Amino acid sequence: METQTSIFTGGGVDENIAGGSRVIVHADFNSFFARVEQQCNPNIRNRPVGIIKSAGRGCVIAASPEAKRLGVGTGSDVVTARGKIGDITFVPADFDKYFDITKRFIKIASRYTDKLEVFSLDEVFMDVTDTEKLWGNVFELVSKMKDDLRREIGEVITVAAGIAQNRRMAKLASEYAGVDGIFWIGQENKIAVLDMTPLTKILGIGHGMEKRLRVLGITDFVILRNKSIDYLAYWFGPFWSRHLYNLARGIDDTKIVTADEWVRPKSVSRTFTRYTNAFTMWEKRQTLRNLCDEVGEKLRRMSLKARRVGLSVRGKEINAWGQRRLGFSGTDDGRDIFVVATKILEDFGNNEPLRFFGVFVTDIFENCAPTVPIFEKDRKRQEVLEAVDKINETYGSLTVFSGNLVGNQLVVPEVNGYLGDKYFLLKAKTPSR
Amino acid sequence: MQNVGERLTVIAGFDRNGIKPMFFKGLNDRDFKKVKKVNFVFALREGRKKLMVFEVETDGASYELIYDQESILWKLKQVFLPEGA
Repeated sequence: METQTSIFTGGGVDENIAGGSRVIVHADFNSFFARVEQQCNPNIRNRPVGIIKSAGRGCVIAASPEAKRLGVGTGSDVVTARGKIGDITFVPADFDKYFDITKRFIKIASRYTDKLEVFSLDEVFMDVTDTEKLWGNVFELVSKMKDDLRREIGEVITVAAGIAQNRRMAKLASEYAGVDGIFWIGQENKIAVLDMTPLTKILGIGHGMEKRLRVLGITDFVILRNKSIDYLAYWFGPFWSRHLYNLARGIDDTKIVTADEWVRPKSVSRTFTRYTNAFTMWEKRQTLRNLCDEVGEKLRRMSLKARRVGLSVRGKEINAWGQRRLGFSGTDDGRDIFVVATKILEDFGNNEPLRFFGVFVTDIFENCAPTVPIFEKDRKRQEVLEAVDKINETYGSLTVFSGNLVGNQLVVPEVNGYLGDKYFLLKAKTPSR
Repeated sequence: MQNVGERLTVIAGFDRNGIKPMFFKGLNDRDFKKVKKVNFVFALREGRKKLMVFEVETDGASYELIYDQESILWKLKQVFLPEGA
């Protein structure tokens, strides 16, 4: 029998070190976007559905189980998908709708525990160690939660639930739970489950790490478990060796990070892929300005400022990124960010058409004691920004926008699937949506 | 056939869960359409304005109705017709 001892010495609580067993549930919506659309429109239920970002986009960002069975999944392109399934229905994504469901699901899950981690738009981790007994046991708790979900959100939208002693194994369990299912991984079956699991299926091993492991002949968890900690430390260093050693034994001491424990983001960004290439500098600057204004608005809503601006662009012939420092005092003004981003774009010295733009700001600090600018033009600028924010907050995003954007197809703020901006969306003082 | 964006006349009821559309018709419709089932409801915000979106099913098709809680007006957002319609 394998000795289940964590050698991780970080700050978390391991089930063995703590002397007690944690009970973690990972709830994951099955084919979330597609199921929501099927819930809304009965005509597309039990039929292959592909979700695209918006009308005219060429990539499937989510697929219904019916489409997945026929070989169309996330990342398939629309033309290939149509070739594989003649009668597939493509539906433009509605992220406001999905985010509303996420918020309702968080409310439902909060009835069962206060230790809840919103992991992405369609996934939550719940630590029910202290509360499972209130519902008899964890299986009763999960069944009850699923009933609530069915009653309050819809009968088509289902959740796969994984139950285990830690986060990673709970996430793995939900992968095996299937549609509307429950899968349990305990001390007894932990190693057996791991042994039938491909390395990349577990949270914590990406394709890069898998490649490195493969080079050493480590192709599954059985082989990985047989490697000594010294061997792993020799090849992967002190951090990754401990990480891999624990993963191979199903040990994980990472904590559930509740909303109260979220820290302010380390960066704020906005990316956008245009429908058509931006050929002229004017088109490129318009798209950039739009994204920079959104980044600036997000910073202001979170009372943050940034000292560094980065830009990433992609086109057929170019894939470049760069960053530049702003002044020491930082900024939360989209115009300042835009000026620096434009300089970075000019630094690339390339006139190739561009399709993808990504603006990010880092070196962020809290703007906790905003000072009144000395110069009148700066004071006026601050007043303009405050007025614009107030109008947009009252009447909706981009009611008022920069004059540079006139005549351009506006890029509106939206939620992303990974909920990377959850701090902003769920915790910022003034929600924008 | 209704036009997307058109204002609707709606007969709604209130139950424990709030407002629920029961019958609706567009400007050019003679008769009300009966809501057979509300498949889904979600909330939207346009600035401070709160909107409720109802995904409803009638005998012939599915509709997305928007209720503006501020102006107390209903609008049609989308129509989903069955295949072949």
